[in-house]
Amino acid sequence: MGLHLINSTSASSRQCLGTLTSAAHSAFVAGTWFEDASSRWSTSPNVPGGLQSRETQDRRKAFRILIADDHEAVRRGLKSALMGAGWQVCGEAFDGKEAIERTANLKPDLVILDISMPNLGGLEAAREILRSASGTKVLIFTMHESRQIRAETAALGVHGIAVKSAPLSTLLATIDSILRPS
Amino acid sequence: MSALQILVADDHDIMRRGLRSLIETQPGWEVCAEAHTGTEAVEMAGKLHPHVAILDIAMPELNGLEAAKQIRQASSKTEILVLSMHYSDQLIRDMVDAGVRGYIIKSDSDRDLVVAVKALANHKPFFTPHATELMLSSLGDPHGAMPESSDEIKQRLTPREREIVQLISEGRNSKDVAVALGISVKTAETHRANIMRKLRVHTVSELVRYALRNKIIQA
Repeated sequence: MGLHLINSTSASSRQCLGTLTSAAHSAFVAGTWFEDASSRWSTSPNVPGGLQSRETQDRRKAFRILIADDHEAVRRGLKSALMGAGWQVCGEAFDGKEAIERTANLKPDLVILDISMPNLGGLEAAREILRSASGTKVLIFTMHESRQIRAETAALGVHGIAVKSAPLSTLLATIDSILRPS
Repeated sequence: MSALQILVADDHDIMRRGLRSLIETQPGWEVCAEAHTGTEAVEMAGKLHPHVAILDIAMPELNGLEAAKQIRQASSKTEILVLSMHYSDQLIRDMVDAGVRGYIIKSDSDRDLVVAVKALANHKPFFTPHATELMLSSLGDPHGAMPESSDEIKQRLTPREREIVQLISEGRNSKDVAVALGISVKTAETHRANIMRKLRVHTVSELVRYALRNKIIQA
């Protein structure tokens, strides 16, 4: 399983760092999602670029995502973006402790964790979720862009890291790659 | 009655969407534009004259504080609400000097955003109790109240110079600065030399440290 690590601090310098599976890498280049010519396209005002194929929407709606961030504005923004892109948002959590509890109850396919949260931070929550909820994948979504944070996060064995300063399209591509069936 | 027109400026896509979502829970409120840099925010405020502009303090090209100063000139009726990650008494002082009448920190935006916008829409200021306490304590603090020395006055950068400090700290060279600001390379270099002289710094890394200490950029 590959680690998907995006460094997107500016529009002009997006790189994919870390080790990716070859299948994930081909989908991952430049954060762009390519569909084959037989796909039918539908417009979606909520998705950057406005277009996504019906196949993409159908594929995404099978997956359930839990969002954990202590800022309501971030949770609302993520929920709006994810649902607009076709995924289900099955729950929200305000801190790491709640994220662990709701993951155990709801068994999401993916949990998106902020690092800096009260009571229990995202890294500690990620550690516990990876240990106890084998069917749930973990994406760290953080404002921290330091190498040290990336190294600590990578060492945990999470499935992806995305920075909050990156364009929305990059985040969506990261999630697609994590949830793409192997 | 026409809708309350609100401009939202934040360089994080998700944060902008979230702020829009919070705002749109209020009947009669409308996000008339979104900006992801301070420069865009100033341009849109000048065109659309929103009732309220919500500005993140840390944006590329032109930070929220500098954007606020320019918006006050471009659209004098627009009330400004600044969002930042942390409290800073220096920042609060700078904002009040710039004519900003609303300030909240992002972690309290759930609770304070709607209240702040309502206050500003009625042309009343909004500062949280903690921010008010910081302002009052700096007024009462004998060190905070010391008059500026002539050295301090000379060191105070002009708004243009602060813009250039931000651009240089973001890694732009003189040519990039000139293009960004619509000035000649020679003028950009002259500004740069003046800045370095005023601040008594000799390297870009010293300038970056100054910019971080004074919240012109954030780490």
